[in-house]
Amino acid sequence: MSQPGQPVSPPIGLPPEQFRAAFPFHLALDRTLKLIEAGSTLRRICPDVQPSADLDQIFQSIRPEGRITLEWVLQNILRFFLLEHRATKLQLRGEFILLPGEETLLFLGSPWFTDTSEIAERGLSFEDFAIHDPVVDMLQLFQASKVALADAKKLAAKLTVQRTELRALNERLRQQEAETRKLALIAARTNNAVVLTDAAGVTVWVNDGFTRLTGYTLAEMLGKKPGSILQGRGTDSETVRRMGERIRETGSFREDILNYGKDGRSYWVSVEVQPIRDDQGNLTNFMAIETDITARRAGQQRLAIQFEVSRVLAEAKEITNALPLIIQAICEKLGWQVGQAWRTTGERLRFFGAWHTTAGNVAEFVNVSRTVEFGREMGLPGRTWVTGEPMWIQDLSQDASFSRQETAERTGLRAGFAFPVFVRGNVWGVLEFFSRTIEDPDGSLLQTVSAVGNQIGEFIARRETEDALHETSTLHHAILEGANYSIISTAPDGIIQTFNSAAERMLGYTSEEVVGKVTPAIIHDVGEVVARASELTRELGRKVEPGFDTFIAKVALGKPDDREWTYIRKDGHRFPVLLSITALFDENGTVVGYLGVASDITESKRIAVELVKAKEAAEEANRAKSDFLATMSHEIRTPMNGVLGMTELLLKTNLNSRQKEFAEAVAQSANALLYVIDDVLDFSKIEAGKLAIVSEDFSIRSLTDAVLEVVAHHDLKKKISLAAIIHHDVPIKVKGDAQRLRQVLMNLAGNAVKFTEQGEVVVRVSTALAP
Amino acid sequence: MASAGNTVHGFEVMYGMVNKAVEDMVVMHHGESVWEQIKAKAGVDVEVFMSNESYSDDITYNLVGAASAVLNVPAEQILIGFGEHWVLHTAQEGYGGLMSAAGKTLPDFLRNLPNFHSRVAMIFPKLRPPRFECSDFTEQSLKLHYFSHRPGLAPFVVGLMQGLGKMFSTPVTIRQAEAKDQGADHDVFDVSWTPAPAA
Repeated sequence: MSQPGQPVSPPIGLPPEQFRAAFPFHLALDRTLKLIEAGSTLRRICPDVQPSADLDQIFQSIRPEGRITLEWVLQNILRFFLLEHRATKLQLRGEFILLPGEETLLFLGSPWFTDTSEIAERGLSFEDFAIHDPVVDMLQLFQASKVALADAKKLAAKLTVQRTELRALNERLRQQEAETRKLALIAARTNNAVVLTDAAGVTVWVNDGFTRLTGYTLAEMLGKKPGSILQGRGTDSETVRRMGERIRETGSFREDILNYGKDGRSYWVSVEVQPIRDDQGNLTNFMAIETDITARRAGQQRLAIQFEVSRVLAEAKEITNALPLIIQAICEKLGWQVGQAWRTTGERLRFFGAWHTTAGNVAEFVNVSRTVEFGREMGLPGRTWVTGEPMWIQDLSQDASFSRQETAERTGLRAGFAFPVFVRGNVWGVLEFFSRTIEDPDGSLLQTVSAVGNQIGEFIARRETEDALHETSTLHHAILEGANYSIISTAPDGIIQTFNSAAERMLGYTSEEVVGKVTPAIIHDVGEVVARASELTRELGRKVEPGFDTFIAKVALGKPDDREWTYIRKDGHRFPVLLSITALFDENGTVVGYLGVASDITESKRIAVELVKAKEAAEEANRAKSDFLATMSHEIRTPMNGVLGMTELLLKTNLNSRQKEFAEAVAQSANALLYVIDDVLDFSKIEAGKLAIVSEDFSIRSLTDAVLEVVAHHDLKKKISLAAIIHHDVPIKVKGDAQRLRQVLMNLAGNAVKFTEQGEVVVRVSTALAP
Repeated sequence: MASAGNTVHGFEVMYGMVNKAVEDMVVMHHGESVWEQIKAKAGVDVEVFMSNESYSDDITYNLVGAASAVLNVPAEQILIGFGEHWVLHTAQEGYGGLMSAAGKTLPDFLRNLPNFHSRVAMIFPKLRPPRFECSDFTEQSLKLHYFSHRPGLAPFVVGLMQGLGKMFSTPVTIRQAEAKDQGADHDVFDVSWTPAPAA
């Protein structure tokens, strides 16, 4: 056994210095496991590792586990040992070697670190290790692995985050995809036409709706600009220009435009174009959605036509003025170029009016129309006249019955339609319209224009009625205004509605002052109205209020009410009128107002008073005359009676014949004079109203005889016979005024004798039929 | 420096550690988003550089170029900064104790540099680190010979030396004495230092 501290002689003859350099962490032990020697580095970092120290005291075996004894070590001599320095916890990995001679146990090892930082922490550096010792390199590998693990963890963490983000992204994508699928489905299935173009406007996709609308398939549209395919001769160039401008300025627009399908059919679409941009905002596509608005537009067009026609007719006074405006409205709403009106005149249709655009030379067509006429069945107007139905010509050049083909062709007109205008069931005229494009028959348009035709017809009929009415009302007006009667009409409530010129003159109010404002109360005397109300209350047996009721109480019952009233002028002057009030009824018998016609009776009343006065004066003069005559007659009779009495006495004396004749002549003349006087007296009595008729019994036979007796003496020279024939049924006595009868009979018989030269005068008396 | 003469070839691949170092440096000073910009500009689409995996050195060059463009700093400055960062952060992280075990002072470290590179090369077999040799040792200076067939990395070496000076708290001066891109056989740096106070 060598002494502790003595270098071990290595069997391979390694010099001690080299051995120490090669194994800076070695331990050399004797059989009691006391330390003989230790590597220099080990001794430096583990200060208790000193010669003679007990191995078991300063180290413990981690692997294998067990108390370190020589025997135990030798039993495990082939094992890998991990020793731990008890004081510093430094672990040494290595192996035990029993040197030849079995006196010395050698532990060859080096420190075991799990972290490179421990090298420095233990106060070690590379130079403390044998160069061949791989510990440092293993540490480095370990470190590298740790770094790799850290990287892997970092990567894993990042991947986890990314996976989470990816999942979220996937979910969003899935939703977007679902949304996109939905939108794509909508785009594909929608009835609207959808066109997708690239940024240059070249078609890259169209949906089925597009093909249905236009007839063009995706294959036919690919690589083409939609406008170049769809727009046509009728497309408004201004709209196209505006669309281009909007695209350049904003990338989007919405317009209504006329397009053409593959089959040449035109249709209206509402186009909405939107730009599609990528995430960076770069324009990638345009999407156009086109909605077929042909029907809607046609509906609006029809409505617009009807509205315009209604408006024109509402404002028009004469059809002559209205018709060109209506034609213009229809042309403009339809986008047609020419419209003409034809008027039936007898058996001919004559040009009545027209409107045309300034397009091309369509004016020439109208000018030619002015020079032609149509009979029944002739041309479009004539056929429309006969059938009474609207007619449509899709292509004028193909319709042999269209008589103005040549002119139409020259002026570029291609399609036309016409419709009749009926007035009171008869075709009043025909309207026809022409377009520069071929137009398919449009039943709904024809319905509309038929309605327009009816509207125009009704207007004409109404105008005619109104004209007639106007004439009547002109007459009424003339009567109303020309009359010298005050004519005042009122509403049922009494408010004045009419106040004619005569009323204005008579009452001093103007029509404007009273119409619609006041009742006739302002021109009446209150007292008079109150009195009349009382009177009517009595007469009608109901309370009649003093007021407007007073005037209408009777007429409301259908009775006339004509009476005198006092009117009061605006200036307070009062005058009498004869007012005739009547109620105004409508066709249902309802009172719609009242009419009062009044005449000023001031003058007639004055005349009436004067007449009374004149009559009274005349009567007075007459009475004076009668009195004078009565007096005078009476005054004459008295001396005449003396003459007669004396003459009768004279005749009773003896007279010669000559004397007797003279005396008789005197008596006769005196009697005649007496009769005259009596007559005068009677006349005066009659005039004076003093002649009294007496009633007494007398004999008509005696009276007749007496009269004849007197008459017989009137003219004795005449050779006429005088007779009285009294009918047998004449009573002997009658009742009456014998004196007056005698006078009458005397006059009649006297005159008969007087005016009879020969023959006979007969007085016949008979009874008349009793009354 | 007993084993300074290990000759290595230029490398065609870089371990991820290098790119990671660039990333760390940029992120540390300029933030994550700038790094993403630089990666995008460099056309690099690698989420995490694995330290022990090898990547084309083009990636590194592109990253440095892009960093220069994005940060508006000359590539040379980027490389110097990168050298420092490598020593002070990346190597500490990747080699850890190995760096501190490689020497207690700057001269010790430089003396151990050949061994150090040998060990690193052993651990990372695909990596062929540039060859460094030291000569003309004095107490306060040496000549550092840098052999690399990849041009333009001299500023990186300057950065490494500056980093080591900081690591050992030893003010160090580096001057390029010879430059390969100016016709010299290899780059030679005069490195001088003042002894660390604690050394």
